[in-house]
Amino acid sequence: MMLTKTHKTLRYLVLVIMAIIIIGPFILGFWTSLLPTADIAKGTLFSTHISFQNYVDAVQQTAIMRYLLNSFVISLLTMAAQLLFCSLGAYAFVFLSFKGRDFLFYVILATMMLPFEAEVIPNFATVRQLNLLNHYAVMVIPFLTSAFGIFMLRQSFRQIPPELKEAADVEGLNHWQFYWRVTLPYARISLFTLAAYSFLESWNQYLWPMLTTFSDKFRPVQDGLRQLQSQETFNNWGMIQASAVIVVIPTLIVLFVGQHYFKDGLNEGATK
Amino acid sequence: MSIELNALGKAYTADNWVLQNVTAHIESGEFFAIVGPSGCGKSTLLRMIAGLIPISTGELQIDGKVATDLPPKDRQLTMVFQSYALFPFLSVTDNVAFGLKARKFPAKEIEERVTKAIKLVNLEEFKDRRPRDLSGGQRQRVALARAIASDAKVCLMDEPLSNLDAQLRIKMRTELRNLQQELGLTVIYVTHDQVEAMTMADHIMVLHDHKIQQIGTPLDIYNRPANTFVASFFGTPRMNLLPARVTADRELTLADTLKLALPKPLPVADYIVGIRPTSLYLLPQGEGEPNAQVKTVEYLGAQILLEAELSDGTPIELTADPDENYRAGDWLSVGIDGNAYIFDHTGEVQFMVEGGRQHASRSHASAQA
Repeated sequence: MMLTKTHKTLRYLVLVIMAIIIIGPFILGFWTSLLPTADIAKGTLFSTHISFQNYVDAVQQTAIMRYLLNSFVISLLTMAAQLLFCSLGAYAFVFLSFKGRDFLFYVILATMMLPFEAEVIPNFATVRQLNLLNHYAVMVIPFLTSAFGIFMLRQSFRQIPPELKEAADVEGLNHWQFYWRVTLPYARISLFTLAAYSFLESWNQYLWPMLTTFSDKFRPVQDGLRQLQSQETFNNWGMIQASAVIVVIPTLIVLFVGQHYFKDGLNEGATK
Repeated sequence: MSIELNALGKAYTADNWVLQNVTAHIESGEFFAIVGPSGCGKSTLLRMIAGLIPISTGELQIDGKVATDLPPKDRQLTMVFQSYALFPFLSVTDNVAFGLKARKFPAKEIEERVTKAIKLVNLEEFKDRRPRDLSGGQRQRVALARAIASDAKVCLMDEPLSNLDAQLRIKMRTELRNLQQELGLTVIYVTHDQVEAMTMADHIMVLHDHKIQQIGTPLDIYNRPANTFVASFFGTPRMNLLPARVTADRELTLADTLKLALPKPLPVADYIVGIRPTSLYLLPQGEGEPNAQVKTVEYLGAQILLEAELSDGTPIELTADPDENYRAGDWLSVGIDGNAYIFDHTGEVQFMVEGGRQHASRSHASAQA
């Protein structure tokens, strides 16, 4: 179908408006991070006092670097654990046959329907019993695996042609070898996706760390940002804005690196 | 390595037999084809031999040793799949080396075997490519190379050529057969294509209806079919199967039209007589008593195929010289001048009448047994 000129113009107009709505606040945030707080307070957004001083201040005066480190440790651990346990779980649901397999899978699916907020109180009680409060463990252990990850990888593993399993059986690969040498490389796109997803999910956690961490030593970035705001007596907005930008950078890196891998057609040629 | 199938059977649920009583002996170095229509259980049988599907009853011996319950890897065989089953994330070389690495061969031997196998299938210039960068025929060669590189002397093939186009399939048939002879492999080859089985195999097992119909050399199967199924499954164009009844001592009448003299008397009953189109002849147009009418004419190049109806309405296929100008609606005079197979009403072969020239409207030359 050929688009008429008006159609095309309209379409781009809508796209441009949506882009402005979405990217506008981000650009505004980035811009204000370059301005002195005095200018922000006065509302002179088109100031000429542009500098990276806010960033220097943020790094020197606040615990932002510690927050970043905490978040990195927590997110990387969560990501690695989810990749391992979700793929093992999904493998069992696809390649092992045992009694009650489907039922068990539906039970796991059912947990996805429960919002996290509804689980907060029992989970909190549990981690307190286990003496895990205010430690990395409290932010990693409850998230070692995820129902969504198992579900996603199960769907992806099911795409593996049964002949590959048969070929591997003839060559004498056991389940561990088949898991490691065939399943994981075959499903690598889904694994990258899950890795990016679980990293970002962990990075953006707010409610759970707020409830379970009490010191800068373990506090991750999102709660750290909140902390900055309440700590600063005169609310140094420029510096808080600079910290926020620093916090966003890893997210952008993950998405940017990630999209390189999200290509179609990598598994073509296995079977006709 | 020889393979012995001893009354093998497979049932997924009680008394629901997918395969029953499959007995065969496969010689070392033999090319053994398992042929049958879709759903006859031929792939199931192959997977039972491979150990991918458990055997319900019977015994499997490989190289004189019982292998009924051995895991696949201990059966010392390789398998080539219809869908190739290549690992898309590995190069051609790594795909071929996959099994050897899994079996922990020394690196040097792996390299030697892989290089040799890739050379044998003429893929040297593609050895670093991924499967997705290869054509269908090349992918099939990679799958073959994987089987060749292994030290196993038994290779199971599940319709390996059926995804290729017609030209390539014919070429690969010869290549496959040559490779098998060269390497002295014992090949068990599953196919639904009777031509493939006829051209490649030393022995053919015909499976149908969960049972073995016949085992024999291609010549046997073609010339001495055990029943109407085998008779009609092998040979193009297909054998005509005509209803027949005894009309005199030592004489059958086929479809109330053609008469066939018998070398010995038959008890009075209903019979089915099988005659290949090439064993029927046509009198020149205008001669003889017309007994069949042409329905369609198909040009096959070297000959033409006529689909006709005998006077009583029974369909019959005939071949004729392409120079003759037949048209739908023409009346023909058909006679028998080749072998005819007499089957009883259940389809089991009784005996064969070797062809002499006989014609319905003329003398009934005596046939020989």
